[in-house]
Amino acid sequence: MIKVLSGNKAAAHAVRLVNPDVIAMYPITPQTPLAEEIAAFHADGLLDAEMIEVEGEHTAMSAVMSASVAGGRVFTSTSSWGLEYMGEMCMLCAGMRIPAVMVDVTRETSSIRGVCGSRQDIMSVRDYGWIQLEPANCQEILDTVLMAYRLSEDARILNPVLVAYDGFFLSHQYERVEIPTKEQVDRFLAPVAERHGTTFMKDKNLQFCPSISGLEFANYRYQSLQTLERVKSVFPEIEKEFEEIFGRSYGGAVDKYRTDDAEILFLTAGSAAGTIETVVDRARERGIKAGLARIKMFRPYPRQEMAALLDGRKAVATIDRSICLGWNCGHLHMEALAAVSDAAQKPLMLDFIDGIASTDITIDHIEKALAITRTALAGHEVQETNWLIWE
Amino acid sequence: MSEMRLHGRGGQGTVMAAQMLAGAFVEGGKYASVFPTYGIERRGSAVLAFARFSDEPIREKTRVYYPEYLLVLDPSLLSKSDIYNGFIGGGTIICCGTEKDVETIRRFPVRPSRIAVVDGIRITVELTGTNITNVVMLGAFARATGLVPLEYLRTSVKEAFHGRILEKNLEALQRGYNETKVFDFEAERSDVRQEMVFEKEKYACEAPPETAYEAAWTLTNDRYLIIRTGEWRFKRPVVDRDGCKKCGWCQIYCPTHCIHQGEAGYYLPDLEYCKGCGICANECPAMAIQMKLEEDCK
Repeated sequence: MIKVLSGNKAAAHAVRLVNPDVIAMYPITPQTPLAEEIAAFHADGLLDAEMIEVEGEHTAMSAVMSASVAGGRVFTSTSSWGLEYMGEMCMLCAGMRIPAVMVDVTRETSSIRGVCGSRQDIMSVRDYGWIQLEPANCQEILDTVLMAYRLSEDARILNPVLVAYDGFFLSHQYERVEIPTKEQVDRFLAPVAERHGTTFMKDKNLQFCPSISGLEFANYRYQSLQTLERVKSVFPEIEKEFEEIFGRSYGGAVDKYRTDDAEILFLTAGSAAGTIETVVDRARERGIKAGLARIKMFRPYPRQEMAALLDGRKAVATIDRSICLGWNCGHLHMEALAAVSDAAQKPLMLDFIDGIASTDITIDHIEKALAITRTALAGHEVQETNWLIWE
Repeated sequence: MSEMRLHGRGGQGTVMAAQMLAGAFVEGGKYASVFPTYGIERRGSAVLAFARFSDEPIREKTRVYYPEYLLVLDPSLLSKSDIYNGFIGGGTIICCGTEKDVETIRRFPVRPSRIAVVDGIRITVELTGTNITNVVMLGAFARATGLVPLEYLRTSVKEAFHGRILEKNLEALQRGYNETKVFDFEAERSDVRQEMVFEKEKYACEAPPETAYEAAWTLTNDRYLIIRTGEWRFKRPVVDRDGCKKCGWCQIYCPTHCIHQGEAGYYLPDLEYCKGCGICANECPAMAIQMKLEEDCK
């Protein structure tokens, strides 16, 4: 069925199709329409889940963790301060290697009190141990939530997955979306229909969150690290199976657009990608070899793939929608600097901060970023970190 | 791909209009995307939304700066120059207003090839007693552009409303379509896209401007931002001086504290700030305050 859906509504349809056993969440802008839509599905009898009305996000995460340990399929979602408020439980969830899927509709964090979009809130999750996926349009949001369940509940992974998409620019963007059938989704999720070893029911003795220290603790950590590395090979398999059933394909951990012979590579994550593609096409028409790499999988960071992708380019221009405080640049740039150290031929690395506090990443802004990059390549001195916002 | 900007006031269903329109395009097998500005909107404040429609998938997730179509849901916005920013010469303006508003538009430096007007407020006041013109304007869009059949818009409206409200809205759609007047002008189509910015030499980005709240601990005494809430109004309170007892009850109830005792002791609203909420008219013990359409007070 084809419908016009916002990012939030697309995510809600994915949740409806997945039909979790337990949903616990607390509404917060810009996630609220997602919470409302799921509640409406539940009220209309389209969703056979236990809905827990919690008094806050800390409890929402506690509830879904407990339900997942008891063998249930779970869902929660939040944004901004809600995400930070559940931080303690998020760390516990990842540390306990509990399969769970959460949607975060990205937003600024305190202070200043801004009800506006950016990728700032999910930066605190970087080191929690969650898998982080970032779709770039409404169809991809629906599809990514479906794939997140396969990934999270895969017997080789068993780890929570965060699907994060841009507040307002995607959460409130209405687009044509194809909604798959329940039969398709059931077929796709069949391999994880009987979740292995994650429940203490059925005469099993399992342990979660043991209080340990020293070498045993280190071994626990080591396993988490290995699990996240495994995601890099498991995720493409899941994408391939997804394509076989639904007919839509995606580019893996890093979505590439006209990168093969690109001399100037744009780097971004989230909703700005489509707008940048338009600029890439315009630049190509004028003989400028531009391309775009969009990081879809932010955690685990596709380090090897990124190093190979950046290697030998003339310049990398990162469009960053968050600021890495204390590093004087955005997070994508900061991490690309780390990845590029593995490359043989290092490109000129420039960063462009734009789109924070719901400001618009415009075609004009991206073209100005390209102008500054080309000026730098022509031998002129430019700053490493540039704030496009005031253009 | 065609780009459109919608201008309305909070509460008029601007974003919903854009969504229903996108639904109609997709119903016809095309692609469409819609995106509102999002802030701390209030009923009556100016809001805008952006729409794109195309035969191909739409990639851009940015606002519309060079609209080929303008859809204006409230006549009070037509005298604001901001709404015409970036409007492409040869494009179409569809607005809620009367024939005399065509001249208002033509006083601005825009070169539309078509202006379509429909007295939407009059229609919605008759149908629902409100200024919610969104569905009327969808009918006007269909009539003025021919881009989307009325039948597909009807499907969208049916998905959005139920029961008695649906009936009213289907009537509003049809009346919008029937009562739209179209005016054509000679206008050359101007180029959509500006220069190739990336071919220029550029050494740095603009520095931040000084703002009202520049930093924590900055003295902001001289930099208050004052919003003229009077422009949110589509009806105004008019005091019947024969009936008014000068009791001041309206002043107590006014949520914006914009009613003050003035000449000859009458309590009168300051129209710079009066939002037209109608609470004073509702509370007046002498029933001496009437809410009148702005259009009728000019």
